[in-house]
Amino acid sequence: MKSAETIHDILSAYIKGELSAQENAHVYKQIQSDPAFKIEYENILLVNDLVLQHKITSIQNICNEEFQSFERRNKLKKYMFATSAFLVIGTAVFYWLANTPKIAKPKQTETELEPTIIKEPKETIIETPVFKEKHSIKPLEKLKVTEKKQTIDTNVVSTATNKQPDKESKIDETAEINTDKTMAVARPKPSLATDKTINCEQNVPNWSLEPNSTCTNSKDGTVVLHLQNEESIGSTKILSMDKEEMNNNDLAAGNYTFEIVDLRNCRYTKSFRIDTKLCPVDYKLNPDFGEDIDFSGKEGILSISNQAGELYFQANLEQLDNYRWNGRSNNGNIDDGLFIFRIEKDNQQIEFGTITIIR
Amino acid sequence: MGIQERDIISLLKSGAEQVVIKHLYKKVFPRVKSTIKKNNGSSEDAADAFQDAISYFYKTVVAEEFNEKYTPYGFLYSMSINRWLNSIRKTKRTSLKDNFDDFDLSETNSFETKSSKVNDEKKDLLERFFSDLGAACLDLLYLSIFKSISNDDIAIRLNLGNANAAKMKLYRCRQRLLTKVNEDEALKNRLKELL
Repeated sequence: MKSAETIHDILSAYIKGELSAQENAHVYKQIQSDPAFKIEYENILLVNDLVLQHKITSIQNICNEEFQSFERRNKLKKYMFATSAFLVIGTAVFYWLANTPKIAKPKQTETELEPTIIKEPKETIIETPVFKEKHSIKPLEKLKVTEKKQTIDTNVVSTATNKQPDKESKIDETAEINTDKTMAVARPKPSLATDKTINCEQNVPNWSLEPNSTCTNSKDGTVVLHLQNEESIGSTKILSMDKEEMNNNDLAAGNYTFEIVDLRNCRYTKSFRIDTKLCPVDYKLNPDFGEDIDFSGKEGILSISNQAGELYFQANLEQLDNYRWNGRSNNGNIDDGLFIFRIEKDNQQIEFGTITIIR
Repeated sequence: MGIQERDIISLLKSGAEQVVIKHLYKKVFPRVKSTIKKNNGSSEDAADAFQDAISYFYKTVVAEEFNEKYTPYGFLYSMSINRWLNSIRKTKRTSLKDNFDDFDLSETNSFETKSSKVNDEKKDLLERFFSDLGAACLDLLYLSIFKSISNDDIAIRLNLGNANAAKMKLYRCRQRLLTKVNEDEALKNRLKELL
């Protein structure tokens, strides 16, 4: 009599196909004839089936998770694609709108077209080469001026025979309808649908500029805009002579044009100049660390005094010399403290400031 | 390095079905879904068909009946489309745009799936029987259903010492499962109907 475990082993091997043909035939006969074999055989098949089915359900669960994950990835891809498309289209529309002229062009014949120029006697230097060039390039963008009467308003011009001129035209300050795409970003724009009605000569902003010099060999010149009615201004900008837009706090010495555009989109310009000034230079020096001060390329008499005004060091600098001062006095000593230095050439101070020697 | 198609069957036999299925959903499912959607089917149709195809594929691998003339990807694709075609032929709800006459489906024609309601009932019953077995028993039973995996293999894979120890433990696990199944004759019979 075989034990249940032995029967199980034999039947497992039989089911797995691990027995020889002869053994197979023998087991088959036993399954048919021995009820214990038959029951164990059916039990093994049932257990195998249950295990397989259980495994399949776990596989189906994995499939469900993978499908959900697949769909999520797909949705994310679609969302990302839609977002990208939206961004691209949005950017394109933005640039298209930004590059579209903000006002309708006046329907005028070419003979009528000339730049609008407002002249105010008190102002100076307004008609710049840049301005002239702009007018010759873009005549359609400007308001009309009738030569004889020197009025500016396009509306007025279109009915010029019925109207008397308001002012004489002068050239030191300019006004025009702004069609510059880059302008007027900072403030809300007025509706310019009826640009023909705009008269840039009227309600001219009352403004002035206060330039502040830059230090020699530096770019820290500034210009301050004084404006009476700030609310009427749409935007401002500073242009160099090369038409490069500048930051009003980092101006080098030179000539610039300041533009303001009011809420009617009238443009006014003034020229200004940034001069240079001598600014103190402060050096720090620790001779123990081998530090020195580079005076190379400078020309004149270098004088270094202590705070009491006593001369500590003096040298004659030649422009071509490669001169570096190591903190040593004319006597060969090195003293700590604050010193005042100046370089003078032909009795003119060309550089001054302080030197702090710390050890 | 990613999974190669030629490694899929050996990976399934080693119990790495999670990784394999994830891979198949990346490699084969998009094609299945695309074909089915192109022929007026839905994503859910594709998901059902592909899930059934994977189940069937797994069964054939376990039973050592996978026909080597197919590649796993091709088999699963054909299987999924066949499963879906069978379902739409029953409901006649979709007009096909592609011509599937030349589609080699002879291998999978016998494949039938049960309704989701029946599947759910079967899952519940199975869960009831297997819930107390423990992970170690489950791993052992899962490996035992593969015809090609010997007790020596099982002993090595599950770190059970030797083939005899594996055989003994497997016997005890089977007996525990059998006892649980035999506790309720009505449930046992119902499960037999569902299998």
